[in-house]
Amino acid sequence: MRGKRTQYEIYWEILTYCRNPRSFTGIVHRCNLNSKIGQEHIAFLETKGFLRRLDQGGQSLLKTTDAAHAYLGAFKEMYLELYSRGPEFRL
Amino acid sequence: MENEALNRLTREMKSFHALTLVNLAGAGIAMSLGIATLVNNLLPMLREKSILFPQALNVAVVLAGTVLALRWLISSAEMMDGFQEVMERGEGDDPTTLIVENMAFYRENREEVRRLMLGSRAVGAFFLVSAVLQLRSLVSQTGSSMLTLMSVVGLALCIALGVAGLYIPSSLGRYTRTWDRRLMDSEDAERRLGELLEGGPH
Repeated sequence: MRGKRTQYEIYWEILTYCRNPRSFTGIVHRCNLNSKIGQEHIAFLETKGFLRRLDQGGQSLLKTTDAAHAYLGAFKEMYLELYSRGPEFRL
Repeated sequence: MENEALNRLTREMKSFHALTLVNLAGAGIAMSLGIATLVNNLLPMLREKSILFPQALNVAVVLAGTVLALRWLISSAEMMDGFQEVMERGEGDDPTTLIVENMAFYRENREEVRRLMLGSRAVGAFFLVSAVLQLRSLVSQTGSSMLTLMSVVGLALCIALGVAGLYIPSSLGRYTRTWDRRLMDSEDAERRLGELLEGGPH
């Protein structure tokens, strides 16, 4: 994703992408983050228990945990709600 | 709710995409018309090898308009390219992804959209003034019917570009108002998400 995102949107994107186990490189590439920022966000989500590390075939992968579902659900609900409010843009 | 949001979002994205297309077409026509007018006014001076009036004045005015149109064209192309990417990346059935993509796009391009509105207005006004000038010369024209026909076509193009130049900013204005309000509402959502993450991250 390009453009300016808030940190909450980046968390949401990482957690959504990691529903299937993903490598660190895959995450930073997919979420368009640099290594340093990517590391910070992933570390934060790990401390919250939203991401956990898996070892698959000698490769360290990250996967979204059930604890993240509350965040993902609230994010989705809030964004759908704020989008549905107010008039629609039309030509 | 999800389906409704998805349908609404798809309609909005189509509208904005159409708007960027109209922008690009308007800018392209404006630029080509500007270049054609420049050449038309430069040729007599080159033939005479001297600076003629009012051609020299026309060249100066049209050159300014053409530069504006070129800037309009570049901005429109960049905007369209960026939005095309949003549309491609957001392909699928998840409205949340599309909302996040569109919000990120708008945050990134908000100032550019405002500049586009200003540029488009300037180009629109420029072509409406040109239309008035062309109408005056058409009234006083005593040339061949071919020349008159070309002048009428030129006049029609100037009016169309003038109207387009003024219509586009009003549509873009509606777009910015819609998304500004959503961005404002998203601040509240951010606060609530921060609370959910125990007093906010970091």
